[in-house]
Amino acid sequence: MNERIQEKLKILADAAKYDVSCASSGSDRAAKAGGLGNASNMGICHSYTEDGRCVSLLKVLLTNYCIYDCAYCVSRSSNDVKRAAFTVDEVVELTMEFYKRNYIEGLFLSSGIFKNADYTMERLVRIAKDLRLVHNFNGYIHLKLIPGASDELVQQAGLYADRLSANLELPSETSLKLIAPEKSYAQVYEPMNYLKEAIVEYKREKKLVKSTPKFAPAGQSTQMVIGASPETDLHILNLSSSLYEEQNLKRVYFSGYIPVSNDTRLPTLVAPPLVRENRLYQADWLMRFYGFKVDEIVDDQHPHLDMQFDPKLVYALRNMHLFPINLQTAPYEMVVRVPGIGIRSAKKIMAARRYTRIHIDLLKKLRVALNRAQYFIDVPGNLLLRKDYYPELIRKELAGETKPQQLALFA
Amino acid sequence: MMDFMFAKPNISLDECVVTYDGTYEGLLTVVFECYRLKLAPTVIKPSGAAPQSLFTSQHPIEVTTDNASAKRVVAGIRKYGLQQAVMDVYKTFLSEDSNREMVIFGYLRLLFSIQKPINTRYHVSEVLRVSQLVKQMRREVHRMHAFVRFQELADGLFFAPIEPDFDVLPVTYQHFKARYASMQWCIYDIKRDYGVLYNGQTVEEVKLEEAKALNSVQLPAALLSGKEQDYQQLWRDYFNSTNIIERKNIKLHLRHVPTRYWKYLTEKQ
Repeated sequence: MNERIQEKLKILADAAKYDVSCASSGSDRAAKAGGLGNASNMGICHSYTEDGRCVSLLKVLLTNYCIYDCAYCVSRSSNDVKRAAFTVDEVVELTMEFYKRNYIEGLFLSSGIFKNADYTMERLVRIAKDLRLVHNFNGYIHLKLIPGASDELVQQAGLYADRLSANLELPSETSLKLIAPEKSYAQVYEPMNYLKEAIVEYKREKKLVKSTPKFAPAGQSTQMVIGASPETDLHILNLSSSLYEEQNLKRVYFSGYIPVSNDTRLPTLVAPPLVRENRLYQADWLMRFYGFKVDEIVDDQHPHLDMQFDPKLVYALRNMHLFPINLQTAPYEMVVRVPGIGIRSAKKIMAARRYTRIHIDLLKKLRVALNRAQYFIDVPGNLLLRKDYYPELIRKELAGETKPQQLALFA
Repeated sequence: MMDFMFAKPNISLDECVVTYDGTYEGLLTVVFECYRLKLAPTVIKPSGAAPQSLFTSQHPIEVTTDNASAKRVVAGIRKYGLQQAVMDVYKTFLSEDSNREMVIFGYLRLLFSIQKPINTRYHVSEVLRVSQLVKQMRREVHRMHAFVRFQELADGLFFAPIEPDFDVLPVTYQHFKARYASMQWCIYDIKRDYGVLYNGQTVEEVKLEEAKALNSVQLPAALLSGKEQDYQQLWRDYFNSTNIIERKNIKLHLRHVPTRYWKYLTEKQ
């Protein structure tokens, strides 16, 4: 085997792994005659690494040579690591051959910055273009937008990629300036805003001319490192909420900070803040799918997410006056706010109640997480409701410190 | 021709055991015959598998598969339950659940009496069961979309052995046909000893003598194309390099990739 390729792949996959996004969803690129692949709208995770993260795309850097010296980044110029660079053909070949074997949904290509932003971006675009036009590849392509790249190149990227992303890197510009002095928010927002307008424009044209070629059909996303700087969860969630609403982003990713250097600009952590990261994603889900507003999850009095319980449960405990919910009559918006009832369960309940009384036994059969839901629902058969519950007692019971008394009787 | 759905099923006290040939068309024929003969089966089983009851002297009624009858039943399912019910019932059959025949029979009896989609009447046990089995099937189909690993053979065919929990191949191959339209490939269910072969144009069902001997992803090197093992090694390298050791979480890893699938995953060899 070509050992040089093998070594390059190891180096450049290792350097790319801190980029969280592995989504391959949101695109519906159809197969073309004589071509290879298509994009599955729901996305497919082909494998999972031992850290439990999904492997959906071949995620590599074009190169880990970089002119910048960002403290949080493993590829920073002052870091003593092995450096490598792929050629265009090497990336194309790996993508095609991995794809044919059903290892991946496509390619996620990022890069260290060599020479300047445009020089780097131009090469990323060239690979995507080559895959699409020369090799007739219709799988998923995610390209990184290099901060400071010109509008022309961003436009080109949109023509060949399904998704594009520019990383904010840190949840505030102050922190970014401190940790990555050569970068600024403006550099990131510029391509992001250009792309937002271009996607709006594309959708308008598509309505008039059906044959308008696809333009970034899976939209754009961004990422920020959590736990390397002092921002509160309130600040972070407000930022991500504005990114969804104003920049029309499809996803905001959080990456629990993993110490990759002993740079004094960064905190020393024993372990990456994985629970916090998980809670932020749960809050993000509540905002995107459950109709929650930021201030219903965190506020000035509670600027941080609860580490012990998920944010939906915490919301319910803080708003006991809204519960219990009558599942026979409550509107969908309230049914999905019950802890232990997810989107799927809520839809099933809404559908089933047209034909039958919602009884606790039916909820059991529908596999609603009753251990949490039972405190918040008014349905026949729910014996727990007789007790006068207050938030602290529910917390204790759910933490396993006290046994739910009624449950013990009827278990 | 009488539309059999409008014949009121006269569910009498005559209880009976019905056997069929074990195929989907066979089961649909059973449904057709039960309506025609006004039978209320208590047991529907493939021939040979029906238990002899100690308390009745009745012999099982054997139904001979008739494709025309089966088609009429499918048309009835589509008419009242739309395409979703057609697929849900088919997937319930493919789930190989030990009680699938009676679940499907009960489901269809309700569908034909209500004459509109019943898929959300979860308080009815058969409807709930169908929704659960369909969900299991959906998960397994999705897993196969993810976990199939093709190996390129010397003659250019891409071959993938699988051992899914349920018989998902009939509802899985379309995905691969769309995606790998310009390749030639074969996905083979080792457990059920049949496969799907795509020749670049059409898909056909195949049975391979050699496949029985396969018990892991490792095909004999002599069969493989020149670069196949290199790409397998590169994929393993990639899989290992993209892991973040500081975030190790084996429990989560196992939840997503249960060990029973490892055998055919190139990256886990």
